[in-house]
Amino acid sequence: MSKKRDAKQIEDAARRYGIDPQDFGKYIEDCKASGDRGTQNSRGDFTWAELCEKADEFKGSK
Amino acid sequence: MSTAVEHPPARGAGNTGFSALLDLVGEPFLFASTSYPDVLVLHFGERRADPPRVIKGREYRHEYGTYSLFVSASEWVVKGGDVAVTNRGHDDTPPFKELRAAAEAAVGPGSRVLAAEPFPVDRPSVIGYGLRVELSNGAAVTVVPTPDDDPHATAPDGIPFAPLADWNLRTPRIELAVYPGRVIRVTERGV
Repeated sequence: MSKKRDAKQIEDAARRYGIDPQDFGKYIEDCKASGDRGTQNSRGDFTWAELCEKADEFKGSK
Repeated sequence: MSTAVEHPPARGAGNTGFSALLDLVGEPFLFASTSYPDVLVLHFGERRADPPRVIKGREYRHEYGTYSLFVSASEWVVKGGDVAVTNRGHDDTPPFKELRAAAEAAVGPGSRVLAAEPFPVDRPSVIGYGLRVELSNGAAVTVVPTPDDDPHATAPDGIPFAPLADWNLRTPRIELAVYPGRVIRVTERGV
């Protein structure tokens, strides 16, 4: 999957959950760096469903 | 955020939507960070930090500059001294975090922005605006929009994804987002 498509997914998931896309992208990067990785590929990228789950937990922590 | 102003296809690089770039001039470069997926973020101005949060039992910290330049899936080149760092052709080797560190070193923390100028890009597959930022130590950052190879992508529920900005600048007062087709969106931010 292209980086642009991944970036669109981040923005779309963030908007659906009412959170800032840039802040959410930073949080997802932080998750990956700490070992909380997605299952989309061997790089630990996140599927759409996983991003929505992450958006929910990020929003819920505020 | 309060209001948004859409600027349909701009008349040129002098479009008033770009006036926020002037705010960046004079600000010191602080550090570079990454945002998913492989977004380079350059922070300028004064360092800020949100209060730490605990999410799923892990402490999460978010530091940023009062001025932040986000480059999402566009090409960028940072030149500083004898070094040139770019994400052009990057295929995850080396890891993106190493590119970030090299870019940060090339820009040079403490150097100040001398100029931030958009420039039109008009290629068969890309019509948009690039950006060139010049710094007081001679370093320069250039952002070049790239083609969208999947412009009609949708979420699994069939809803189309919104267009992705080629680059964004967040300042204390506004967020400037520059999209393909030379569409500029300026959003006022609550202070």
